[in-house]
Amino acid sequence: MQFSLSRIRGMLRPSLIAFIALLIGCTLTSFGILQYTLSAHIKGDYILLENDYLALEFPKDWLAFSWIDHNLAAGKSYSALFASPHIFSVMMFRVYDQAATQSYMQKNNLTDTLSVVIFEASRIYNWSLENNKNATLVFLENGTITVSDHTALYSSFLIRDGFKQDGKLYNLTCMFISYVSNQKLVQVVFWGKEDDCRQTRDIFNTVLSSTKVKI
Amino acid sequence: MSEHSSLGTLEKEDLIHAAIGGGVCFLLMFLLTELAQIGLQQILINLGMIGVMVFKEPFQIARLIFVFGIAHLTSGFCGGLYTGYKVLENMKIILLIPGVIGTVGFVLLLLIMGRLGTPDADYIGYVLLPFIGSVTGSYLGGYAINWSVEEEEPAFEDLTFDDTKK
Repeated sequence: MQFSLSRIRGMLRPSLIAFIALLIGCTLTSFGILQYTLSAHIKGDYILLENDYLALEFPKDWLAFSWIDHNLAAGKSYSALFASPHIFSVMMFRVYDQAATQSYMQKNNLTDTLSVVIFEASRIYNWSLENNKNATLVFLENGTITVSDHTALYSSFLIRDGFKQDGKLYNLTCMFISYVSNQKLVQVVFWGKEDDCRQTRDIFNTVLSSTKVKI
Repeated sequence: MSEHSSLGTLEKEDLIHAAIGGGVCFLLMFLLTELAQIGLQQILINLGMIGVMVFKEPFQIARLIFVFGIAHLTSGFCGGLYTGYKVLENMKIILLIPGVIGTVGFVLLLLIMGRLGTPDADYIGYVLLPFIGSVTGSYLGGYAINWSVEEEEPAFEDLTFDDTKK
């Protein structure tokens, strides 16, 4: 067995060093950008999301997506979705402009906020029927709630055995909130597995109280 | 005549090794691109900062840089490492091949998968950066394993510990 200094010296070639430096540099730059972005929007354990459509605070450890839907029959809608990466609990905010609101209402034969709430509740229930044909819809509570200084209608409902995971059936709970202001429709949905939603209820209330719809 | 024939065979072998290096580059690029993207999200979840994804532009830039380093550069480096190990001459030209083959294979695969070919496809992330990364990585890998012969020649007598000599 031979131990040669030239072997070690040979391993540390400039191209290998350059490769390692580039690899580390790319990783650090990437995380630097993310950390800088995060630090510019952080408020405690929450991230402040603010754009032309809405402003709200959501937990920094939740998955978050936002998109603008231009593919509507008329107008456009802005959506933001927040989901816990560990449990099934989802919040979704959707803001329609005037043309999109009119188009959505006409297309689905809806006349007012209450009909929107009932329509979306039945849509979620129909989706859960795909998981289990014997799922049952139980309305728990209807009422009004303040969202972004507007009085909104809400409906809480339970879909018994409405969600299938790993061969087991779970209850789904859902809270659907909606209001129309200046002929622009705003929808907020909070849904997930019954137990998971119970755990994240406080988070939802915090997010909802911080929400400011801008259009 | 014999010398010419020998040179031709050598070049053919070099090209075959470069093509194999390209295959290594392509396979790794495909695997590492997926792994890097999943890995980045998993790291962000573990760090408790996955919410930063909502800021599309900074997240997209960070993702591209991360995938460039972890997937494109590394796959090119491995392809170049193999090629540099097998090929000793014409490195400047030969080492271009693994990166180009890797990128072309990757782009063709993306076209088949339908991720490219649409007007809103991410051509920077799926074509330009893989090309730059794999070609750069290929040269770095090739020269890392096959550094110039002059560098290998010791300028002085190396210190050697030989356990057979006692």
